Amino acid sequence: MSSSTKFLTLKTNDKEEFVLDEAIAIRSQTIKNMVEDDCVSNVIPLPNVDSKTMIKVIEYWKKHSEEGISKDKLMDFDKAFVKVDQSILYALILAANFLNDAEMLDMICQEVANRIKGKTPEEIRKEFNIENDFTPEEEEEIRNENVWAFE
Amino acid sequence: MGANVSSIDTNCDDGLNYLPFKPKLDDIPEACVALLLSYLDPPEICKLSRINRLFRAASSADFIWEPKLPSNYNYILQKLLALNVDDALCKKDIFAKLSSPRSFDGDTKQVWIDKKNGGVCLAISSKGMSITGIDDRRYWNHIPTDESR
Repeated sequence: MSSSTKFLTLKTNDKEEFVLDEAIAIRSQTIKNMVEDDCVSNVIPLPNVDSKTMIKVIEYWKKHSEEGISKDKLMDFDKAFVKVDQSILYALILAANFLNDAEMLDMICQEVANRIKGKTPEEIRKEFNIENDFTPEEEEEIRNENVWAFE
Repeated sequence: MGANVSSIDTNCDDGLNYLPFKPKLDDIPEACVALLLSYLDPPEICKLSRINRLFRAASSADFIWEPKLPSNYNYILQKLLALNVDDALCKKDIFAKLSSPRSFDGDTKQVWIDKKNGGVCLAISSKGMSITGIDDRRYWNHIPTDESR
């Protein structure tokens, strides 16, 4: 490859390969560090990311790398991007965390925050299928710790 | 090539068969839970710390609370609570301490921070005020009423 555009091959944990413009891939700080440290040989393995999630991540990266795209357009894109089933959001959080893309991580965490906002802990446990792993003593402790917030 | 994304449907209905491993809310790392909690207000964060141990641990991360404190919180701590930042309080505890009103200047003034937005609130009793130029008993008198504290 002699042109100025360099391509990287990313390999997800289900063995799919994605060939991507380096300028786009380095939205991931993890990948950027590897490139800068010259750790990149042929294929960059992404052991914590599956291909379905990676497709979403690349969709986001490409849109956010478009030249001259307006803020409004990006906002519309982001809004549509997060309108997915919750398990996809969590997979994206795990991916963004591993890839170290703070911008995407922020956006998705904000969406999850919006989804749990205004609900009681009981409602959240039920809706998101989370087990209450506290002992009664711990529950009492937390109540005391946080009394100030509800006075 | 895998990077072609045009066929991806962003609607909810494709979601359930979408992933080989379906992560749940409590599969995400503590730092990410803390990040999502940072978008909520303090009473809500405290409420959600009751969900499970993961949420409880995440809810006391300093990076959540630091931006919710007023920028001069150090000054308020030192002046009114005689506390230093080095007193090993986490930022959540500092927020909690500052959210209850503290009296000063001979009980004529109170300061606290708003629990929802961290804004500094100040109440000044009429006795804590002086009337410029004519603050003199001959002109003014404090008359207690039933509503006086």
